Amino acid sequence: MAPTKGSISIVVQLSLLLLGTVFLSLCVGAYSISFQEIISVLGSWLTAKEVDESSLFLIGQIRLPRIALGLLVGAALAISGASIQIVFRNPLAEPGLIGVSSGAMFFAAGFIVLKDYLPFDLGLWGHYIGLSIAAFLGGLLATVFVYRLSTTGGRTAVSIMLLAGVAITALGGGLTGVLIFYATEAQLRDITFWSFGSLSGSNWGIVGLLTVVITMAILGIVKSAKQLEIMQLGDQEASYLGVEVEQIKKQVVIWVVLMVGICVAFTGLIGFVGLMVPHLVRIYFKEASFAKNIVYTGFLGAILLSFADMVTRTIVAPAELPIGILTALLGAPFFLWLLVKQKSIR
Amino acid sequence: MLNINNITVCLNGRNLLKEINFDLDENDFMVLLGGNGAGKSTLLKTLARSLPYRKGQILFRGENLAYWSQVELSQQRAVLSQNTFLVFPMNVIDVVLLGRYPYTQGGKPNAKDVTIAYELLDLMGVAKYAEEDITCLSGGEQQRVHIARVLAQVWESSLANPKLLLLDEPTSNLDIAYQHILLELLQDRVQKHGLTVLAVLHDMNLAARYATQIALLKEGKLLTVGRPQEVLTTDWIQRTFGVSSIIQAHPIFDCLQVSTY
Repeated sequence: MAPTKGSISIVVQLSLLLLGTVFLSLCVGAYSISFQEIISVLGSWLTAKEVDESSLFLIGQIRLPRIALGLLVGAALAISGASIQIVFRNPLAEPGLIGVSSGAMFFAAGFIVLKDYLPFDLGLWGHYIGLSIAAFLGGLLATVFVYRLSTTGGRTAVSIMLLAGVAITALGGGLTGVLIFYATEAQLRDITFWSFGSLSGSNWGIVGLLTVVITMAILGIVKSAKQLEIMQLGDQEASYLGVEVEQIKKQVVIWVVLMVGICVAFTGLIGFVGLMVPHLVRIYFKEASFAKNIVYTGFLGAILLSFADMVTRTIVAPAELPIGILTALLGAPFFLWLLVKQKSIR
Repeated sequence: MLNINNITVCLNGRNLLKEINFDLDENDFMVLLGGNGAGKSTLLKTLARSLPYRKGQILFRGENLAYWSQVELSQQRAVLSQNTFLVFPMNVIDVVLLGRYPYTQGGKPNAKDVTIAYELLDLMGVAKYAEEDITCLSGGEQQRVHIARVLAQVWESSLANPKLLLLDEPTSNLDIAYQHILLELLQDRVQKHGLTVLAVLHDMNLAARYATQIALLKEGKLLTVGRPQEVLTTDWIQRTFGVSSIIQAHPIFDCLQVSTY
């Protein structure tokens, strides 16, 4: 039975889990902070009481924005996966696997390198916005290419979808490699950072920008949730039920690419979140309503990514493991398992 | 209900349908018969507005089909395609409730929608699976769920204002008992509650027994349309399928019985 009655209690449980992860993430890291200290720092914002400057800085300017970024990116990537899977009508579709992320990365890297040739300085926000737009365009180009190539009459040829994704990822990687030749030392660091994925570049400005864009995108997708649910029957069937399929697909793809693009622009390639989380939600919650699925997927994505980030911050402390490496280590076997499962169905 | 005037459909340079002309009247149960590749599915898809036609005109309720809005059309006609399948798990009852989307438009299905959905699941013998995942059912059971879904879409129909149901091989995966259950149900809806049906079938005897009109297609051309008694003759069957046949009165029912050889 679809747990219609339980959906509120599920959300409450997920919120508690999320809160727990946030607190735990605040505590642990290269320097651990005690729970009392965190409470006193958080309390100091309300009561203006004096607290230790260094913990205040560590919590307010380093850990909190980083955790916020993890939650945002986790939710965004997971929801992107769930949505793109319905558009392609395939559980193996994922923004990273079909090349959206590397398309976005190449354009973002291109922007970083080329912006130095601009006659004027963009400033910090000009840089952020330009980077986001570049990543969005790169991701969009990759998506349109893969979709056109692999889908005819609403049926997606999985092999072509994945192979086109491989080709685009290779092309994006190659072209980014070319850019490296023209990159300065500092740009090179940015580009390397992208190819592994990391939340370490966080600050409140980025968090603010991502909050706005990701919230808009999620609301845009939720608005079409019922239509997406019907599109699970296939494009033709959905149109017989009165759904404007092409229009919905275009809107959803644009929102997805916008989210993925901006995540890639600021955190690099964090793969497999969009593959694993929607699948876990499907098998665990068995929820038919896509709107509810999006909510659960968002929560679970946020929890898992911030948890993963906590692991990468602590496992080799004081150094840091790029989070993209951890999600790949978890995600790749998961992907293989999904492939085997698909094979046994056919 | 449907006036098909001189329709030609061309795909990839091949003429799949050539100058098709016929009318489908309200509260008729028309069956399309023809060999493989005769253009039955193409015709059905064209009438469902998912294939473009090159020439001619289709009128639905006297108005050009092309001008109907997607939503209005979805409230007046339902279509069952061949091989509809779901990739992701969904409960059977939720699949049938999708058939009510044209009336709820994203809102919560009301008590009437739910009643209709359960009634149809019961009629198609899949009520016991209501809360189960459709992807775990057998092919025939899945087909029965999808039939329930499209019927839910046109369930509120009346003799004065019947809705249209287009069915592409609805019996292909059904066992013989459910073939009869489905066609009897359709016949009952057509006669007593108002519904116009156009269905592609392969079995001439099912067509003879349940259809009010039969259309014969061959190589993209419409050979003839008429009442079963007019159309099911040795001559037409020979011309349509290239097989010989013996046609007799059915021993029990008031219809014809065809044996081919």
